[in-house]
Amino acid sequence: MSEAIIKVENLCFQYPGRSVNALQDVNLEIAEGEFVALIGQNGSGKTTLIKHFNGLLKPSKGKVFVKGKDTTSLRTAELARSIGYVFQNPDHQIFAETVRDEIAFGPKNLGFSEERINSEIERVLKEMDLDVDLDEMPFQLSRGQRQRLAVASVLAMEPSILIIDEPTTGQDWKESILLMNLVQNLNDKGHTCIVTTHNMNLVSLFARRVIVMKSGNIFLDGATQDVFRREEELLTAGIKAPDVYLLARSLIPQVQLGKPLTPQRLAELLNTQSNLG
Amino acid sequence: MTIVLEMLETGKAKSPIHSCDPRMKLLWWVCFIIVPILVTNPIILIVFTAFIWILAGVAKIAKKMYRFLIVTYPIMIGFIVLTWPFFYKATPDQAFLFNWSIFHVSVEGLIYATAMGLRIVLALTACTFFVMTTDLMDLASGLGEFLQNKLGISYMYPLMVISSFKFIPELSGDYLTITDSFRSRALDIDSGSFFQRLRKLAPVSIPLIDIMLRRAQRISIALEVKAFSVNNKNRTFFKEHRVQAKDFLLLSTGVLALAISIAAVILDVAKVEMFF
Amino acid sequence: MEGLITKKIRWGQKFGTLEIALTIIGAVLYGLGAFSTMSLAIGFITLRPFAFIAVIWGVMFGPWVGGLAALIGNTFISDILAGWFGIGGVGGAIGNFMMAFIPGLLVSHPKNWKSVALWGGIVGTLVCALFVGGWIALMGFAPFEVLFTSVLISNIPPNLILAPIISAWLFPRVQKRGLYWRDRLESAEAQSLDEEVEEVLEE
Repeated sequence: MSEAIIKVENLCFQYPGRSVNALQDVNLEIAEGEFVALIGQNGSGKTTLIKHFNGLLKPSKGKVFVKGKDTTSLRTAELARSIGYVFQNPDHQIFAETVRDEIAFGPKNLGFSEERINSEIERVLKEMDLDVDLDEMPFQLSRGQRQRLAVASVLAMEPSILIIDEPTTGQDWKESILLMNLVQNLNDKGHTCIVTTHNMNLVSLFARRVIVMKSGNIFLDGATQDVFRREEELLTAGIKAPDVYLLARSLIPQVQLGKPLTPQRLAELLNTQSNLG
Repeated sequence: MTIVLEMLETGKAKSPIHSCDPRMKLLWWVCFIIVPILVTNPIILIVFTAFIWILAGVAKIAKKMYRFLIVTYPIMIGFIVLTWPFFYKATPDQAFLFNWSIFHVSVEGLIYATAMGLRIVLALTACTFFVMTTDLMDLASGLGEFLQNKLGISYMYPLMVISSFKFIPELSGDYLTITDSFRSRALDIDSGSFFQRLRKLAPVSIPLIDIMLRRAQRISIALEVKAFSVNNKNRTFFKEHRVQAKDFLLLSTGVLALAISIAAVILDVAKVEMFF
Repeated sequence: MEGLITKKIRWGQKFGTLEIALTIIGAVLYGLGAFSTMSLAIGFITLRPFAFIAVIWGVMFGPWVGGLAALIGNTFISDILAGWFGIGGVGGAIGNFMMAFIPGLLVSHPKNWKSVALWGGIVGTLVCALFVGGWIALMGFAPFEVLFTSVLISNIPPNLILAPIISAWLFPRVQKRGLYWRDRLESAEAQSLDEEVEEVLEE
C-alpha cells in the first residue's frame, strides 16, 4: 500500500445547535489509488465524513489531512484542486446554458488557460462517455447524462481524488453500471475513488475496500469480500450483504474468497468445489 | 439562517410560559404593541422592559434573548439617536447644543430621542420575547381554527403562513447544498467584498430557482393528493386549545401594563415632554 | 413588444394548490432574503438586495400570489423574527403587498424591462415607501421622511435594476414549466369555456 492520501485523526464533529456528535472519534487512512465504498444507514455520518475531506465541514475536534495538508486552514475552493466532490443530485450544481460552460466553470475558477480548458472539456467528455453537442442545454440531457456531466465538470479540475455521493440514486441499472464502469476506469488510471451508496450489488461489483459507518463511527473497515462475509454484524448496522455472499456462505463456507465475489465467480468456485468433491 | 431556525426551535422549548395558550400570548403581545404607542415617558418604558426581562428569566430564555437583542438593540437605538435630534421641532426657547441651517441639536431633542429609543427597545423586547416563547406554527393553527369556524375564512391563509415556517429549514438546506456544490467546484464564495460575493452568487441562483419551482410543484401535488381545497369550510382540527388559569395570569400582566399606560395618559404623565 | 402597461388588467386570480405552493416558496425566499441581510443596516436603512423577489413573484405568478408572498415573507418571517413586528407592522405588511401587487397587475410582459422597471422599480416601491413611512410616522416611532427615504434607498436599486434583468431571464424557465400566471388563467378559462360548450351540447 502506498502512502495515505487522506488521513483522519480522532475526528469529532457536531452540527451547530445539536447536542449529539454526528461523528465520534473517527480514525481513517485512505491510500492513493484505492477504490473505497462508504456505506451505512441514512444518518450514520457518511456524508458528514466525506464533507470533511474537501473542507465543506471543519472538524470540531481532531484533524483531517489531505495529501499531508491540514484541511482546517484550507478553503474548499483551494482543496478543489486535489479533491473533486460530486453531489448526489446533479440539479443542485448544473447552472450553465451550454455543456461547454458547465464543464469550464471549475477550471476557470482555478485559473486554467483557455487551451487547457478546451483540452480538458474534450478529455472529460470522453472519460464520461458523453456524446453530446457542446452547445446543448444541460437541462435537456437525460438524468443519467446530467449525472455524468456533473462528474465530468468536477473531473475537469484534474483532481486526483474523486468523491461521489450516491451516484446511482434515481438511476436505472444500465446507467448505474455505465457510470460505475467509468469511475472504475478513472480508478485504473490512478484516481483515488470514494463512493457512498446504498446499492450493495454495485459495491460488491466495484469496490476493493468497504467502510461501514454506524452512528457516527466506523463500524467495519476492510476488503470488500471480508466485510460482506460478516452478515450478522452488517445487519446491526442496517445493511444486508449482497445475496451472492449469503449464498456463498451457505454453500461454500470454508472457501477463502481472496477477492470480491460476483455471481460468475461464485459459479466458478462452485464448479471447482464439485470437481474436487 | 441558523439564527432563524434557532429562534423557531426556542419557541418550542418547555417552561411555564411556553406552555401557555399561544392565542393568549398573542393578546398579551398586542397589549405590549399598544403600550409604546401610548407612552413615551422613559421611566414607564424602562420599568416595562425590565418586567419582560424578568418574564424571560421565568421562561428560561433570557440568555438566548440577550444574544439576539445585543445585536438589534444598538442598530435601532443608534438610528434613533442619530435621527431624532435633527427632526425634533426647534423652538427658540430650547437649549441648543448645535444649530446650523435646518440642522439643530438641543438638549430637549436628545432627551426626546432617548425616549423614542426606549419605546423601540420595549417593542423589540416584547416581540422577541413573544417569538421565543411561542410555537408559531401552533399559534397559526390555533388562529386558523378560530378564523375558519368563527369567521368563515379559508384555512388557506394560515396554511400558507404555517408552511412558510415549515419550509424554512428545507429551503435553507437546498441553498446550503447548492452553495456547497459550487464551493466544491472552486467557487470562492466566502471572500471578496459584498458586491463581489453577490456577483459570485449569480450562477448559484440558477439551480436554486429551478429547485424552488420544482419544490412548489411538489408541494402542490402533496396538497392535492391530501384533498386540500381552498373552499373547504368544514375542515376539522387535530389539536384543540383550552384556556387555563395561568394563561389569564400572563394575559393580566399585559392588560395591567396597558391599564397603567392608559392611566398615565389620563393623568398626563405618559409623555416625555413632562421632563422638559 | 407591447406598451408599458398591460392591455388586459386582471384583478382576480383563482387560488388552487399550485398558487398556494408558489406563495409559500416566495414567502420563504423573500422572508429569509430580508432577514439574512438585516445586519446590513445603518439604522432603519437596511439594505435589501433581495427586494426584487417581491416584484418577480408578482410579475411571474400573479398579483395575489406575489402580494401574499411578500406580505407573509416580510411580516411573518422577517419582521417577527427580527423583533420589529410591532413597529413595522401593518404599514410594512400592506407596503410589501403592494410592491408585488402593483407590478403583478400592471406589467405588460415579464420580458418588457421598461414596464417591469416602471411598475416594480418605481411605482410599486414608492407606494411601499408611502405605507411604511406613513405607518411608522402615524405610530410616532420615526418621522415620515426618514422611513420613506430609507425604504426608497434600500428597495429602488434591486427593484429598478435587478428585477427587470431577472424577470426577463427567468420568464422562459417559468413559462416552460407552465407556471406563468396569465397562461394559467387563460388555459383555465378556455377549459371552463369548453365545459360550458359541452354542457350546452349535452342539453
